[in-house]
Amino acid sequence: MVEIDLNHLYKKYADGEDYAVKDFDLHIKDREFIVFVGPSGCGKSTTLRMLAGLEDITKGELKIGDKVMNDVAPKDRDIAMVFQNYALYPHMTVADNMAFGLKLRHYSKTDIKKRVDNAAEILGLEEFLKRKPADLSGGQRQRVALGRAIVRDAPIFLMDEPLSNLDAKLRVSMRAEIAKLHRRLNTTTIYVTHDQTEAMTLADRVVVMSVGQIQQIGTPEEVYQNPRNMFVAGFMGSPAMNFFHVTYKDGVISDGKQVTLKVPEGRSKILDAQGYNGKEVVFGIRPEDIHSEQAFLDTWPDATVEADVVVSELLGATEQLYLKTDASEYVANVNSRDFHNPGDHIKIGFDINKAHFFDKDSQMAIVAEPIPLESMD
Amino acid sequence: MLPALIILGVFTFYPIIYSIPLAFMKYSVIGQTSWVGLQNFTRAFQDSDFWVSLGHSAEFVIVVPILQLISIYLATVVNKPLPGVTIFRVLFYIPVVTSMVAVGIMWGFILDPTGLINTLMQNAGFSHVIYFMNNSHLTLPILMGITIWQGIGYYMMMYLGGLQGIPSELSEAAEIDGASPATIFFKITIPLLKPFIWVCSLMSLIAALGVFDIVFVMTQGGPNNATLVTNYYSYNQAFGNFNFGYGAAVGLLLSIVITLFSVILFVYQRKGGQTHAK
Repeated sequence: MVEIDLNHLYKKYADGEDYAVKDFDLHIKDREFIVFVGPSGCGKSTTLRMLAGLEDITKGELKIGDKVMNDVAPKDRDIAMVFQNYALYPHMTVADNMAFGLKLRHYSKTDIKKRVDNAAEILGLEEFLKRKPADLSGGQRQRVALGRAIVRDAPIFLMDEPLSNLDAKLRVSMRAEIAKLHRRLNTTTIYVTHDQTEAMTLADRVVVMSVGQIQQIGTPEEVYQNPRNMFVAGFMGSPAMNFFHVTYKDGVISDGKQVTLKVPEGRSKILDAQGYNGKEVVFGIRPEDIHSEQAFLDTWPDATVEADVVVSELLGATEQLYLKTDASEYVANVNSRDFHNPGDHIKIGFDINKAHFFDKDSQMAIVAEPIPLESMD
Repeated sequence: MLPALIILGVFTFYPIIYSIPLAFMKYSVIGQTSWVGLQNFTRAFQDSDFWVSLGHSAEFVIVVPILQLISIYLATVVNKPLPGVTIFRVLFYIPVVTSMVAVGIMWGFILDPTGLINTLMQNAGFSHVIYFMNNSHLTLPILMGITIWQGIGYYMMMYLGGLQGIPSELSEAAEIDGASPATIFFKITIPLLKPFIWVCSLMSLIAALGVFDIVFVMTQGGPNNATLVTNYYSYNQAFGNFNFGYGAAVGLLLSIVITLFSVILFVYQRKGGQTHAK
């Protein structure tokens, strides 16, 4: 059992003007897979490094189990870490790389061999044990880095963008392996990435960060379905959510031109109740909630606009349309059966039931009950 | 390119190549130059001064490990992001770019019977004056010390370059693996510095065996041949005693010794280097 408490952590670098991490507050449950996600410079790696002990904590308290760890050396925190650039010792063989930490902790030779062989088997590295990192491919190196982490049986895994140096295909397969590994080892894992797909696919809970601050904590589904603010809405999901600056009045949103849509009653009640009638709001809709099938257009004639296809990308099952209506540009993800060529003038429909509304100034979601920073379960 | 090549040819390549046949001649500036075969070499083998000088040159090699150890240590110190670390890097490098003549004069002042060290010692209550440069037991170690002092900055910079090529993630990974700073240094840093250690040792070995200018500037081989090194002996035979042929032979013998040591070190490094090749 190991739980981690990050109590209002702050980090300020000596040469930094502002805090790199501000008021980071999170409780990590035993065996949880937590992903810190955000654009580069958002403080996610810094937070992970504070957890590892590679970075001092400026303010706040870090607890692993019941023990305050602020001033404990990295080696005494009982963690294992996987680095972005693998950080394999180039002068040691694969086996020695994995055994290094065990030797330093005075494990017996037979125990070391057992653990290394076991890790090699899990990761499919048996035939590479005698090789040097330089003789391995990127994917194999990352496997060794994972192996080095798992031989120690540390109760906590920290992973700092472990897949970002791999090519796209390998990234997808390694992602699945990490998920498999976590299910098998059940180790509390904190994983840092800037890739929202990794966050969505791997995490039990996602911590979305921006400019040093937590924007939202929740399951992938929660942060995707109920983003707390425009940043989370725009960051999670690919392609990103489309935003339109519109004016809401008497159940209708309009950008003053073609994008004039009727808001369903349930949603308009909330907007009315919160005093947005007659005000500007931001209307957000995900690409997959924009439709071009005839059936949808026939069912929801109030929710359609005309659009020019600027670019169309066939992705296989779906097609990504870069559309333009008046001055607004947006992306739709439609079924590829309704293929459209660039230059086509088409009718498309917005599924307003799935729409999100945000306050223009605070950028917070306009919902009946404000979405908490961390959803309680 | 061409002018540079001409200058290089006239003042470097020609003398080097010409010194080889010269070693087999009895060269006379005004009289008859004659081919004498191996006579200059047999003379060297029977010349006790030659052996003394070769011994001193070999002794000078002691500076190599000392110089490397200090330079590696200092490089790790100035590799840390400490405030003002650039100033230290510059300070250590200043002796490297100082001319040997200036270095010689400065150390001459410091070590003079009325110089800095003796004055300080007298002020501290010592009545005895140390004649540093007249003491045949002290002069060679002093020259070696000055060589080390002057070389540190150069090798420190080489090692600093090596250290900066080692990603910081490696020591972080080792730290998490449970390594102490000393373990990280010996198990990670030093093995990864190996290529630099070989190159620096080789360069410093060649320089030590071929030491000349510090001797020329400070002692001219004295006192009583205590600092007579082979390169200086070769020079002195050629340009002091005008035995150009003999001087060239001594120089050639030294070149052979240096080449031999370099080859040994190089082969050894290749063997060791293979397994650590990146």
